[in-house]
Amino acid sequence: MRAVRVHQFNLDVPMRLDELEDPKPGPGELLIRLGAAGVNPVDIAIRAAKHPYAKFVTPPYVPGAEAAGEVVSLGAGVEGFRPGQRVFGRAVGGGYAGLVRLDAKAAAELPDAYGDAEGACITVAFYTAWNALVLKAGAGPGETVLIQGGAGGVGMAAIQIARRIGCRVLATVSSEEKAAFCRSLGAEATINYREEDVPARCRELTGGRGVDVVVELAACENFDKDLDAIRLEGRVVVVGTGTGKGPGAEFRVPAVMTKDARILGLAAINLVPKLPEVVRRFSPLLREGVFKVHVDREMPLAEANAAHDLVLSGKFLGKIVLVA
Amino acid sequence: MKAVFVKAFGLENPLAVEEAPDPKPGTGQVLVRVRAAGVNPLEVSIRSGKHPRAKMMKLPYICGTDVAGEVEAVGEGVKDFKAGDRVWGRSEGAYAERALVPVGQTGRLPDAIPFAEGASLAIPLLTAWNAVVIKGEAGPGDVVLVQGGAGGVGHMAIQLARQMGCRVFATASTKEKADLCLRLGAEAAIRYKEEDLASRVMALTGGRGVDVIVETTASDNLGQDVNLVAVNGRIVLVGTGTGKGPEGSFNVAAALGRDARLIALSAANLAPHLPEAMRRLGHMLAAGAIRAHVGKELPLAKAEEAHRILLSGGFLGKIVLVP
Repeated sequence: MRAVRVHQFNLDVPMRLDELEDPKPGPGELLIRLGAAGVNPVDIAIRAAKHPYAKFVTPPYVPGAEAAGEVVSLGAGVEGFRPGQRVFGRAVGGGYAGLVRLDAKAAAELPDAYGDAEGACITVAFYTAWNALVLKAGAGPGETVLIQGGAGGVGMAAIQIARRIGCRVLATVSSEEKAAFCRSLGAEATINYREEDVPARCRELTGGRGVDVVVELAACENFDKDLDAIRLEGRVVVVGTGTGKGPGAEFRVPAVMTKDARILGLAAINLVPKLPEVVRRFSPLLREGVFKVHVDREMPLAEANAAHDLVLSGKFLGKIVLVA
Repeated sequence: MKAVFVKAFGLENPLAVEEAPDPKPGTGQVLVRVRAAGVNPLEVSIRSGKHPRAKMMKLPYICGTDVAGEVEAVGEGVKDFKAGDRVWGRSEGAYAERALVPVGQTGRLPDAIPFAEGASLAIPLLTAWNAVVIKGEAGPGDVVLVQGGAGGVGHMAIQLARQMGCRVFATASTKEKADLCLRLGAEAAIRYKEEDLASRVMALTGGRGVDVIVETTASDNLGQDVNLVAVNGRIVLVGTGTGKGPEGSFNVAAALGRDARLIALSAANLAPHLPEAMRRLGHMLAAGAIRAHVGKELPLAKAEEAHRILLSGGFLGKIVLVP
């Protein structure tokens, strides 16, 4: 099969499309023929050796955390799937390849309402948003949630999940185009962080109270401001440093104290044991077909380097995918 | 003003429509010109003398809790409301032309919601909130079974759970009631008199059972509920069933085997949670996400008839009195 490989932890060294031996599904795995592979900021951070997960891989390796496609075969002990079935899920051993192994416990059938490109963008974006909103923040109906960075993959998912579970949603954006995108996904108000005072707008939109929950995708830049945007006992879920940013952030310690703030971190790897439950609870909502998965660009595997450049530039809405 | 009085406990003693002095708002109170008063099993139970709260009532008293109307005057210290505001809330003495509502139990009624629907919120919707959100801790993707889906609390619980991203099943006694449950968002409406509830629930959940049961008829159903929950399932006891109880029984071993949690609630103990619940529900009401289904409207003078209909079960959603 053909697969994209990272040959050096260095963004200046291009990834290469290599010919590799076809993989076989291990116990608890599904082998799928690639429909599409999701491209995520974490892929780039690992490739740049800026992410803690870089220690789990050794170049040359196949990047990519998620994929969708058709089941080819089932590994030992896997039940509930059949060859030919359209599925999506967490990739084991890299998603940027013609054949991809999926963790069967974290895989699910892709409803007919979604194509492969959309299916390849659900696992990281929606399960991360679920982790942030449902498992970490415990966001409840009628609460106000601020999504810091609403137009990216996780932001797109978080706006919609928050809306679907009965929350009011505010989202920060950098352009009018992104604002319109967030509103189309259900955000009640958008705040242009380059032009407006985000904490002041949050207080204004909540009758002076502050928001209940912040889902923070660019903590290195925003964390200190989040402390002014939340209400007393508000929760800030730290989901990301910001694409290409970090790792440090400066904040006023007293601001955390005076708000009785709860700061909740999360990492994809710690979600893995909980994925079967997430899949069980998220699947009925996905089957409703109301979640929009906006795929900005589908690019061939051979253009993986250009896809990474595009994600780093921030000049896209929703998600980028690679197709076989 | 005209008001409906309970003069003696016991359902054999009819309610009395009489003249009463207009109430005056005290500190922290809002005087509401009542445009609709909701009829709930709670006041029938208190009136019967069987409810624990009956002991605290001094006869004669004005019946009813749920009101919607316009603010006529506000007492000292009330800043959030002014004369003319459309409101809903909880009063002690709702079946009347005017009622006093504590400001912390007063909510703003969006213009799009008619008064009859506004009078169907304070007990039914807030009890549904208590059951689903506070006691049942239902989360998105959890499966919620609403026992008695077409009643006041039940039809609100279906909508609230759906808005929260739960899968919702409801039980109903007739096709008409089952249809209402489906229209409100239930994935399945199970006709418990004709179908085997347990096998339907297990088929719908792949044998796992449900995460939360909102039980409005505990005296009849509790025994079966412990067989319907998943491991760690929560059974929220909302009521005995109109005119039923007070006893109920269940298989302790079945509950043990599921780590089941039986959680009771009462309207009175919700009081400290009301400001938060009303604020959060306010957003959802303003967005039109939850609507009361008013099955019947009767004039205030027909309060006795309204209680008879409530006891018969022959209605959908809510019964409302209009002064």
